[in-house]
Amino acid sequence: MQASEIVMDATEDEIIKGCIEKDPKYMEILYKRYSSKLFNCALRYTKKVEDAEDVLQDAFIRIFENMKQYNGKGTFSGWMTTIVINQALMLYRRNLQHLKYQAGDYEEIKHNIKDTSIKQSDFLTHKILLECIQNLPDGYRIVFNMHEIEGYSYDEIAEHLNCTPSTCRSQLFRAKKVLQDRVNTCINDDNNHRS
Amino acid sequence: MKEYKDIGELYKDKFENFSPEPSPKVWEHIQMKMAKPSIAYKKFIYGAATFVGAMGLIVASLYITSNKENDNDINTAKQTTEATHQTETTKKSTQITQTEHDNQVVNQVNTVKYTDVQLSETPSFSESQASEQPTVAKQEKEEYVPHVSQIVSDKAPWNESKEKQIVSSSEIKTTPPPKTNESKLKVFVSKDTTVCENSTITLSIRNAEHIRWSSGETSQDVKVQITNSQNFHVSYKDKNGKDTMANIFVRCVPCTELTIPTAFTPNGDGLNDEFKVYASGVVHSYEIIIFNRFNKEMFRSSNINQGWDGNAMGVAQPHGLYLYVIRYMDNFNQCVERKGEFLLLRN
Repeated sequence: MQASEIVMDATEDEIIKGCIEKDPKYMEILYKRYSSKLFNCALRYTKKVEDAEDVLQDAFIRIFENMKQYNGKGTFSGWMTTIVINQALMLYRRNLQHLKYQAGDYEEIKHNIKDTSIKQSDFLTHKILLECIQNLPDGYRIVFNMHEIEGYSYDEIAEHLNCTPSTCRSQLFRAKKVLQDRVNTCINDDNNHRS
Repeated sequence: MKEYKDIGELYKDKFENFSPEPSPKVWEHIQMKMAKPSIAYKKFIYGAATFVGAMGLIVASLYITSNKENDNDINTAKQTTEATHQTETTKKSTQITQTEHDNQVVNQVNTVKYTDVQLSETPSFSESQASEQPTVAKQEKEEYVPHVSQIVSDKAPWNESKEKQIVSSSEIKTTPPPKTNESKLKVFVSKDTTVCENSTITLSIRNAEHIRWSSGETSQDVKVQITNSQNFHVSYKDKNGKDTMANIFVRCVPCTELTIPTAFTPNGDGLNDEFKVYASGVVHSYEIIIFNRFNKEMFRSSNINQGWDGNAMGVAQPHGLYLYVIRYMDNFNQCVERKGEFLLLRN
């Protein structure tokens, strides 16, 4: 344990160098330092915690194997996040054939939410928010995450998902509506439950 | 109380500092997987092995070429000396040729690259070697049976090779062999052949000792998978203890192979939206016709790159079983007909 204490405060460059040399100590430090941040990302892109853990695991293996390819462009954590997202997209593509998602169901969802502002309540925990986003259809969830949180452009998303930018835009629009609806329902349920 | 204008903003803010802990199993699994040698490492090992193999091949071919020239020199020298019945001169001339040979070896080493080029130009190389071989056999007196790479094909090899053996041994009889008992020994090596890509063939050698194939194997038969045209070398000692090498050239041609899917989903998701046949190798005069279960023609094309999108006369066809007939000429100009069925899947 002493060894890991020594490198616990290692700089990013030291960690990268250590991981290129496949030094287990530095690999552990990298994992400990970034796993929760990347797990946060993996959770948002997947349906279940188990899937998120799978994605995280595969992403870390890819990070360790391809550490040499990190060329210093952009932030290191950004590079790793991209790998996690790519891994999640791979899972999505694999599932695409098995999960039939019927767009029709969501067309019927009421788009008549007038109050678009959301009040942050104490009850709006991460758990609820995660549940709401995890229950979105795969396509919606990915577009929402990529555009709203990671800040990808429509063109970039279109390239990843193999669709047109306008499809992405409309998917995002619908995703936001559905998500908002669900979050509001959760808040109301929670408030009712409390009162 | 903070208000958000947009659901995206809410999520972005909420998840910015959210740091959930993954289960400890994840790290255990990563450690387990990383403990195994990575793919890149394996690739490196394979690469190194191929390099070493290639170097070995070059060295072996060098050795053989120089060796053969040496034999020729000695034999020619011996023939001349026997004709004049001057044994002392024989020794001298042998020695002279020996030194000449040494020089040649040096030259050979200097022209490693040249030899390498010869190896890659396999057809001409093997042909030239084959044409050289009869003369080699004539000159050899110690080993009067030709150690030539003679003709063993899979189907009717042995008869053909025997005929050739008889011809060459009759020629050799003019100078009687020293050991008549061993004169029946014949070495057989598989002959040059042409095969389809990725097929596996067996190369054989008979009546030889100390067999060593260029792949490093020492058995009489070796199985090899052919992925490109290449030369195989086998070095061996015959009963007279003479080191010899034979060369087998295996030509590799792409044979036509169709990959026909068994189902497709024309739903516009970019995955398997068309029923499309993929061909490796040469395909001439291709034609595909697709029928539905009521034998009505749905689609016809003579372009292999054109797939069926599930529509006939502008009408999307229903989920179900469809039949196809494909006709084409392969690269041996043989007409091939394939029939089968596939599924059109709709949600």
